[in-house]
Amino acid sequence: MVLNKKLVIKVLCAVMALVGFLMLIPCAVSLIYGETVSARAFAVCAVPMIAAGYAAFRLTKAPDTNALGLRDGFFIVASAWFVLSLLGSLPFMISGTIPNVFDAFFETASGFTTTGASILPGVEDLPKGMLFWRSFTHWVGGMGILVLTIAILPALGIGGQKIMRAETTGPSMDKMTFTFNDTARSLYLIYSAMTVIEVVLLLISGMDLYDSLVYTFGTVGTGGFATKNDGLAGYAVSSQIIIAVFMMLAGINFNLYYLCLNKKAGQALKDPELKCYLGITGGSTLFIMVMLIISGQAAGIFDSFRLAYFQVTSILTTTGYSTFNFDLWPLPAKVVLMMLMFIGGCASSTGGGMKVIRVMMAFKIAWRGVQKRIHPSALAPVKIGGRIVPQDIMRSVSEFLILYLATLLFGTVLVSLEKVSLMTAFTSVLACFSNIGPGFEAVGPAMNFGFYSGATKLFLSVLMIAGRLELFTIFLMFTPAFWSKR
Amino acid sequence: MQSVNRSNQNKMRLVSSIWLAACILGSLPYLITGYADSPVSAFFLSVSSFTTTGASLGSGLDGGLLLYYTACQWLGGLAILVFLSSLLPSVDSDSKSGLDSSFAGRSFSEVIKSREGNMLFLIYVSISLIMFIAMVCLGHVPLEALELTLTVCSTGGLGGTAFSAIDAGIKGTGAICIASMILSTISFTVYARLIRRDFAYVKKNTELRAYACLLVSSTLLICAANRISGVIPDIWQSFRAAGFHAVSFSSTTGLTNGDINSWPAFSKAVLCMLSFFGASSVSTGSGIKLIRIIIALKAIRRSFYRRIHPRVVMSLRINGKAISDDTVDQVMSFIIHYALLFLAGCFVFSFSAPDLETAFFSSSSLINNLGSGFGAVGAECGYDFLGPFGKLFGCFLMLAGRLEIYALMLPFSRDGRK
Repeated sequence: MVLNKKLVIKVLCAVMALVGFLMLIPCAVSLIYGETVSARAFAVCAVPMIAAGYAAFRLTKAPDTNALGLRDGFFIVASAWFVLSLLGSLPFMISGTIPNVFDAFFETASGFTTTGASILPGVEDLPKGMLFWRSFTHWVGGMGILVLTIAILPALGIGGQKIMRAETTGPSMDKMTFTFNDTARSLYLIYSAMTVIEVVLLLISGMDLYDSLVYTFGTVGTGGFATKNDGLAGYAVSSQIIIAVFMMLAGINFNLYYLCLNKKAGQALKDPELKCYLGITGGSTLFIMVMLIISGQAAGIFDSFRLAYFQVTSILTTTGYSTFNFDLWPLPAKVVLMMLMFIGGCASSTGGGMKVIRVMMAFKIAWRGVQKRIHPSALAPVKIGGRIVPQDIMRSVSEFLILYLATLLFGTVLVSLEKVSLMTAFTSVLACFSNIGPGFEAVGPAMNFGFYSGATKLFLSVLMIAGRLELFTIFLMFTPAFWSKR
Repeated sequence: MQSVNRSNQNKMRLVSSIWLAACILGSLPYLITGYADSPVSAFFLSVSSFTTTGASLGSGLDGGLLLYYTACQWLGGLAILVFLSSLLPSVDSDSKSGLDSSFAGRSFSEVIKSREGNMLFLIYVSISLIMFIAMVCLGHVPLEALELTLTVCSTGGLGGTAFSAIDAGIKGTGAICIASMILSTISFTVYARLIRRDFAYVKKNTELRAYACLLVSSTLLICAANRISGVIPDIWQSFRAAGFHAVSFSSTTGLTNGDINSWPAFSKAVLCMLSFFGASSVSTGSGIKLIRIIIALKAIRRSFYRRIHPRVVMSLRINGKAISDDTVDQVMSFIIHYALLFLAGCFVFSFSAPDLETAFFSSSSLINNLGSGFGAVGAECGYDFLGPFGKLFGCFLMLAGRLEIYALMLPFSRDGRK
């Protein structure tokens, strides 16, 4: 196999330097709160990373060609995410906040992949700078680190389209007509605007600046790291609702916002995936609300609506915040939440999971099977929103869905080697793979992943990254075909 | 083309109505004897027997009813072999001879009259006869031997009656059951080829090989897991238990011996996986079927390859023969459909199940026609907790799993209603 090594090294160096720069922000936060140990840890990581990254970037000779092969694209994205998670975990280890390397890697991978699964039994004991960094990784990972790199450093001049495809989520139905750098930049513009608006709103609702920032990062990145052990239960109702609404907004396809900016809001509103997404949100909220009222776990209609709506948006967008220990809810409500865990957000959003569009297609593909059985010679095209889905996209979606289920099964079998119940093993894998965070039973919202062995934590971290990059990018690295010369 | 469509549609309509009629009529004995407290419960039992599920409502069936229950299972197994093989997708669509392809596109009556149809029947009867004779030779009472034979050869399950209550402590019963369960989960096309002395086909049969690998590896893994966790300290005993349950679950018979609910999560996970795709096509076993999993995995492997070499055109090969993209699409959509139905089952059963695990296993156990499971549906416990609506949905799942979904989906299709 021939990789464009120089180009790969150049990009990875750029990523390293970028992470170094990003670490300066939590470093400053640590200084503000007078946490010298944390500040020193960030500085110790950031300065060499910036220097080494810059030096290596300069010293590596310009690649013979900027042409990015298919394999280069996959390799760059896959390796960047591992390097990122490893480098990002250094401050935790150096400061001694999370001394164990597997723990630190798990926590950082969980941050960058916007999973929000934690191994920490009590987050309130952590220094504020460290908590800030933990949540900031959500914000960085939400839109994709390479997209960010290319948006900031167009000078790299590499074919961003391939990388973009490997890093953004969901099958794309239309070819993007606008040029790539524009896309990356406008996506980040929308993302940043959303962040600023949410911070301001949270400030108005009475949260302090630090908390507003941390929860905003977790919300728009659909991550889920909190600063309190009981999640958002202790905050004002208004703050909870603001966060719920923004979680819902972050689960929507960002290209639709781009359309709105270009004064094509009508077209955006007609998007079939958006309609389905809102329908799922509404339907499950209503169902869980009724279940909560019947079981008497919430006082009054408004209260149960608030709890249900928050939890539905939080799980559907794969954020994972909670205002209530939903593991205690009635079983049908839990099963609905579990199904939302499979579904995830819309394509090209910051959410994880299978994506709404694929689930829509799953139903259509299943139904097409019935029709084909009755009329074997019929064409029976799969249509979404009145438009025919091309055969190859349909096939790749069904391959994705089955690979997703197979990985879930295989992962559950592996994790069940630990001394846990079967449902704990299953939901651990589901929660990590779909980038949600909390699951049920021993990994429920009031629990954490700390009890797993190092090997399982590493395995779950790889699953998180594989889930974030939509399986194929990571799994390709394990296929002989990728490394063969042909 | 129109006639082909018609015949397909008619075949499916015929299959689903015959099954439904049989299940409704077959529920009468449970009602009349007063074993079932309501028509829905009786229907559930009847569906559970005809679909070779072997699910019970809690209390074990006694003498006469158990014989009737197992006889229904045996008939169900026979019906599946003959009915479904005329509907099954043909894997080797281009091969001129061969049992598997000879059914595709033929009408049900043709299959019955054909040599292959007879052959399936004969193979099924002879496996049953051999097992029955072996059981009697071991010293079983003929009634017991008959009941066990009927339930094992059809991969049904004893429906709440404990295996230990019926094996009468005679040594070797387990071994014979294992052998018969394996024989009835191997694709019957293999036997047909053996009779024709087509050894080359048998030797390179992908599904058969996969079954052997799956069975051996899962037995060893379960054995090791049980030994390490200390549930069964004796290694030989652990091996026997692992082998028995791996075979029982992969064949979707669902016979259990001893308390498997206390087994480590790993063993349970492996057993559950086996029940989803352990059985081979054209056998009495149920579930997704191994051949579909093989095709799906090959399709996924191809999609990996395609990502690096987008312009390469590759066709999937099974048993050395290329299979069409249409067949692959059918298989993928079947698996997705199966997963959706399974999840729907989880949701419906969550209203009455005590915990998540029970809801999960009720659904997987019923759709796979397994019968037993873990949690509150483990071993000798029944499905009485499901309530009337849950039981009806359970019947739907059992029939859907048994009739490979499509035959049952027909009434919901717009074309089907015309």
